[in-house]
Amino acid sequence: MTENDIKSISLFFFYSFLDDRRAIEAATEAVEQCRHRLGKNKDLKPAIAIVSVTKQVWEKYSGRFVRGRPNYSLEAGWLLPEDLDLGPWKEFQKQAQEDELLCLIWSKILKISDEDISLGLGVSVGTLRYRVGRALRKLGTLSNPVSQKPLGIVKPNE
Amino acid sequence: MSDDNVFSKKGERKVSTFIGQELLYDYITNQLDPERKKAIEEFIDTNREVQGDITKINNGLAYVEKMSQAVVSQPLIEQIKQPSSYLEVVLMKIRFDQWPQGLRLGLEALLVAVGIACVALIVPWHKIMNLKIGGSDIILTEVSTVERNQDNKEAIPTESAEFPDEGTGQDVAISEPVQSVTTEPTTVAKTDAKPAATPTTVTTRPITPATVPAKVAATVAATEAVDSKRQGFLYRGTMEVTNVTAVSPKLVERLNALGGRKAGDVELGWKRGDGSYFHFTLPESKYQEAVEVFGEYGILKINKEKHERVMPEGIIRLIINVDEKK
Repeated sequence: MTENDIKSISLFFFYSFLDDRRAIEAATEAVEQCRHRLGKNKDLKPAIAIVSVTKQVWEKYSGRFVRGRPNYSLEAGWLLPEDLDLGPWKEFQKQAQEDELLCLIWSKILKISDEDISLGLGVSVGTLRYRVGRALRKLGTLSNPVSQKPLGIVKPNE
Repeated sequence: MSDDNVFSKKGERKVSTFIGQELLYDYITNQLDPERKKAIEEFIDTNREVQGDITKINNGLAYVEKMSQAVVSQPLIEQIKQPSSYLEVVLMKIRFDQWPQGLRLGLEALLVAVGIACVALIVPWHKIMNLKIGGSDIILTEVSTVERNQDNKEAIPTESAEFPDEGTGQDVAISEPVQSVTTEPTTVAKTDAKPAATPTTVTTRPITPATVPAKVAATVAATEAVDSKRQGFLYRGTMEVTNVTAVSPKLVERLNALGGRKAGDVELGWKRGDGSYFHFTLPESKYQEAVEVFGEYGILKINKEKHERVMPEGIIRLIINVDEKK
């Protein structure tokens, strides 16, 4: 496993939990499991293993926590872009369905390919893209209220 | 059938609102085939709501793009890379590092106290203490088990027992040999200043085991076994004679001849006030003779009293006060 893989796992749990303690705890467990799984199966792509393991660990930990109660400190070691406001994400993390939240993180934040995610989850690419599309629409609503303003030019029906 | 419902290469392939909305993400990420892309573009042009959705999706994409630029610090990566120990997991779960300082210190102090208490409970202190004081066998009376000879004169001198508590007129020192058992506070008879006239004037004083010197001669077990079988006795008597000063040396001489030996600190016939004090041991076989010796000078009143002190077999102990006749 590369450091990029560890970073991906760490960010996955940070964004999904928004909780330092849980994120570090879950990431540590996921890294160990991922390492073990890759050791057993040399042909397994790390990206697929990451998706599969993070989903498994997420399910284990998510039952014991309530979304919408962020508890993190940037001093713990998460280095976020300065102009990034996590307010919309907190709201999204609270409102979004689990599959939307996770698929968005894998696909758009960790930038894992749709094929690898679908293989890791055992769902079709179409299903995955559908979930990501829904998630983006929700997040876009929260991140920019201007988008709800009526647009100006609309072509009339021919 | 209207054109809207025709889905063929010849007709226009219009996209329904539901399908159009669901394909927007694919359209934005350029995942559609040209034909469908064209259909979606037409759908977008004619639907104001869908235009809003496109903006939302673009906003979302821009937002997550920014999120993806987040970095995890090297120390944190190192922390995550290393497998956690059980203690670390527990401490992390209870958020120990976030507890108030006072609470953490208090908990640590409590753990230390519990540890000390556990050690104190587990250590076999009684065994250690027994080792230090030489076990529970504290011998207060040293008795040599010399085989009795026919001649009691030889046996008696070997007996070093002293009985200062029987009326020598001196306070009993704690260091004096006293027969007792250490497991329970014992009482030691303490005599009055004068030789006791009656046995009821005895006072007691508790002695703790630590204050009693251990003088090993025989085991307590053996002593207890003997005590359980035998009862100690003391012969206590008084008599009045005329001219004690003259009679006492004669009595001493006669008693010595019978094998009598002083039992306390004072000599036989110790003079006290107007009288003399005889505290001595004697072969039991000579008892009657000794009584007769005293009887030659007056009327001896003597009682046999039970006493906690057990004499060697064949030896008796007597205390006789000889007072001036009034």
